[in-house]
Amino acid sequence: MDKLQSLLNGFTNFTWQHGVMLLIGIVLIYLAIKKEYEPMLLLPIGFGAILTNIPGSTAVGEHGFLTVLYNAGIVNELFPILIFVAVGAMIDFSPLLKQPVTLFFGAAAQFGIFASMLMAASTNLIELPEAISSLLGLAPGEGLFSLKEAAAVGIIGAADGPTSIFVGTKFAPKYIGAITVAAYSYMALVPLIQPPVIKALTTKKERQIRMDVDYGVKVSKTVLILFPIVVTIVAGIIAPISVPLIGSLMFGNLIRECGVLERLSQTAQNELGNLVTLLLGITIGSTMAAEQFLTVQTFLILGIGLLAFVFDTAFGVLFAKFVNLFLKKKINPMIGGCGISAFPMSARIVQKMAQKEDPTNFVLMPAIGANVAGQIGSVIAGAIILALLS
Amino acid sequence: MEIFLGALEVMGFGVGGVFLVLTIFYFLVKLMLRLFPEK
Repeated sequence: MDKLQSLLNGFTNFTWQHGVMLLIGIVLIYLAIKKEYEPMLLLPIGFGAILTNIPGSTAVGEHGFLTVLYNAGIVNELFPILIFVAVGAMIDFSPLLKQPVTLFFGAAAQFGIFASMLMAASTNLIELPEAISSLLGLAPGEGLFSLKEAAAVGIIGAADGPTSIFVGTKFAPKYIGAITVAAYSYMALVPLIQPPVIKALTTKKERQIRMDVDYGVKVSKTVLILFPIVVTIVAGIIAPISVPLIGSLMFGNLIRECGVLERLSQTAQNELGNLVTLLLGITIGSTMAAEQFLTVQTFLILGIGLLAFVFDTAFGVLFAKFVNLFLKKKINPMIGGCGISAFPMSARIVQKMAQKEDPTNFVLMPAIGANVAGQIGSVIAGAIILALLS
Repeated sequence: MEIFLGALEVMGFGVGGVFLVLTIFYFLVKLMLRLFPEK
């Protein structure tokens, strides 16, 4: 009888919450395969969620392989750091170096991080009745998010998975699943999120503004090699807590640009990136246990995360329009929206929008410049948040 | 209220900090392009 009971454990322990989470896992896998929304991440995350939410699953728990991976790669932030080495090896900073002014768009578009952090923090201004507080598992007077958790929610606006995971693990480990799913899902949805925001904030005439492809600037090999080294040293001195993030990104880029480590560069871009992405995805999926994921906070995180992307785009575009007030040779303000880190999707979208207005207009290079500036900006923003709140 | 004010403070320092650091990078890039031009 006991043996029969042990065989039926999975059924007897099955709750509706498990059912919902299995469904969420299947939806993520569907979106990855059918819609090709960040399939490299969403498919492993979806499957990790399924493995975790099968009642009595031994994939999680003290000796479960997903818990082992979580402790080995997420708790100590190893996976996001390794991903950054791969990302650094993939990025060509020449469009940014040709037009360093695009750095400012990379800074402006980080506004969404802080605006959404403020939104998450503002949920504490609503005083919840005691009955609702206890229903949500909160102590009387306790808010939905602490300041650190609000910052971790805001970092979704970095539009940069590894930075979101890095900050989220430090400040809001219990929400890391929701934060990561939001970050990667909205990155995949950038083609749907950005165009209406950009269109609403620009005129047809502004969208038709032409920009020089490279301003006639040529970048020497020496500058390409020095850039990652100088950025690492300067950012590290200003915010030492940024060293793992910016250091690994720039290390990957140095491997790419040095010209004598082609094999390592290829390995970082392909094998390392692919392997760590695979492990990262399934491990993040393992954090989506029903009791942690099916909460009011998760829904708020998903909502605020979406707004973060909207704020990023809007502020980037508005900043470019503001800069135009002082320039003789105007910038196409859509470039401002590329300061969001989602690389290179955002630049492609802006190029597509520019060509829709004028088929002979090419803004791809400055757009990519702003896009890679956004990559640096998001890492710096993450580091500053860590420095301010650690 | 304390958390909200804390977030406002982080926002001020954060936005300012990001702009400051990237402005430094801007001038460093300009300097590097001048010191090491492509021949």
